[in-house]
Amino acid sequence: MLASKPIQPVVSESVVNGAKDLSDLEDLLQNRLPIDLCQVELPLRVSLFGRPAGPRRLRIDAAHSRVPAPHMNMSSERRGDESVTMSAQRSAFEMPLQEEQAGEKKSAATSASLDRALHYLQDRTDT
Amino acid sequence: MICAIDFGSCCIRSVFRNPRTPGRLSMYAEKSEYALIPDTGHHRRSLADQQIPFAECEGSLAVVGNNAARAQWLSRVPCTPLFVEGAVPSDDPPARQMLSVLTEAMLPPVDAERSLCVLTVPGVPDESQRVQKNAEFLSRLVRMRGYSPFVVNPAEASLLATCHDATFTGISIVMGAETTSVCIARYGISLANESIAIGSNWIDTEVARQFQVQVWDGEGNSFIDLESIRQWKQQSCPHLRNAVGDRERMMSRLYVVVLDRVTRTVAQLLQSTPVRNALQRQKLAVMLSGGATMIEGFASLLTERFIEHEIAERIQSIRLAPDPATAVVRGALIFGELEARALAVEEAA
Repeated sequence: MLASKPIQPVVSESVVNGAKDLSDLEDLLQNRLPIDLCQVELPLRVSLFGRPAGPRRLRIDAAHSRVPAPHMNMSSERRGDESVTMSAQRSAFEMPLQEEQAGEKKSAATSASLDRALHYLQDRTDT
Repeated sequence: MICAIDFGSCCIRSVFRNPRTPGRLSMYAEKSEYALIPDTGHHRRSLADQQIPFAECEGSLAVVGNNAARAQWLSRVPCTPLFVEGAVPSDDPPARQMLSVLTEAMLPPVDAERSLCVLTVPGVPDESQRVQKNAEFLSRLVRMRGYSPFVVNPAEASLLATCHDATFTGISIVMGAETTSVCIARYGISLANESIAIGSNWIDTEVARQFQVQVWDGEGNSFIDLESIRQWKQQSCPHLRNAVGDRERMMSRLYVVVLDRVTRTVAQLLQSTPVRNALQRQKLAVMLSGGATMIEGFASLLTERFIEHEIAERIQSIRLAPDPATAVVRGALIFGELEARALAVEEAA
């Protein structure tokens, strides 16, 4: 027997809720829901048991017990080297000395010729 | 109430639907570290003046989470991670208690008799006792807040959050601070997954060691200054394929080392029996998430490694998740909502 009126689909509350849930889940899956970043409310002061480990140390330098002595090599090889160095230094210092002596000789020669010239001029003036 | 919490080695995040703001998600994010401050009257007064929450420990004060950065100037030692090498420390009782304080503050109060919290556990999820203890400890913290805990793999969670357009089929790679997780799934069901105990912290540590980026405390102890390396990365925005300068070049090389390991893991998973049976030679989309993948040139470098290891022919695309940092926790929430539906159906049946 056919019904005189068309049958209206009955939408139950659970079906509506289910559809809404699916829509909510779809929004979550599609990353469509905006995110509110909230501030975490931590207690202002708490007491904790134990000593914290702290960050891992990379390296620990041992403390110096005393100031170390100067690093001087007093071996004989070192002395040999020093003598070579000294002679080299001396030669380096002698070079200007020789030049100085030569300069003195040159200046002495220059002064002698000047004296001679002055004597010559004086003789001429006297005559 | 359904919520999710991602216990990351760098950051702890929780997310839930707030009944007061429907159509939006509420999220908490706190850095998983604490700063040690000398316990003196001056330091206490400084913290109190700035309204910085602190904890009194034996011999020192501790400032946990995001506040650690605000109080760091009062200390001469760098911040201490709450998870050491991706695990809950067994030799640091205050750190365990700080995790408890943070978990309590970051999970909303339960509003129903049966509330579910999906959590991720840091570290490599193998069968070792240490990792099991990790999961047990963190699950207990969640249970103490009134929730039923449900542990999920980060890569699986990220797949749910990012691969909807690929019908939840593909490869999800989550590279975090201490661990890298890889998962291959078909229609949202994991076929094979693997975790590697390496992440961005290893790269940052090696760069800091090489370039001697250190800080010293008052007693001459030297510490690696990882925070300085992180700030440098944020400010200089290095590109892995166009490295400029010695430091960027070294970081790029270290990324190559890590991505070689990741690629080898992906190749092994592709060869595993469940994957071969379910996917045959199907090309797969790769979705990247996690803080370490946000560096410029990451996807390009990974493509190069896939070509080098001859698995590029199995890859359809490599994409970075639109929200790399929060994809895991959002995926965990999806996991929770799906699980709650399945439980409701079971109960009704």
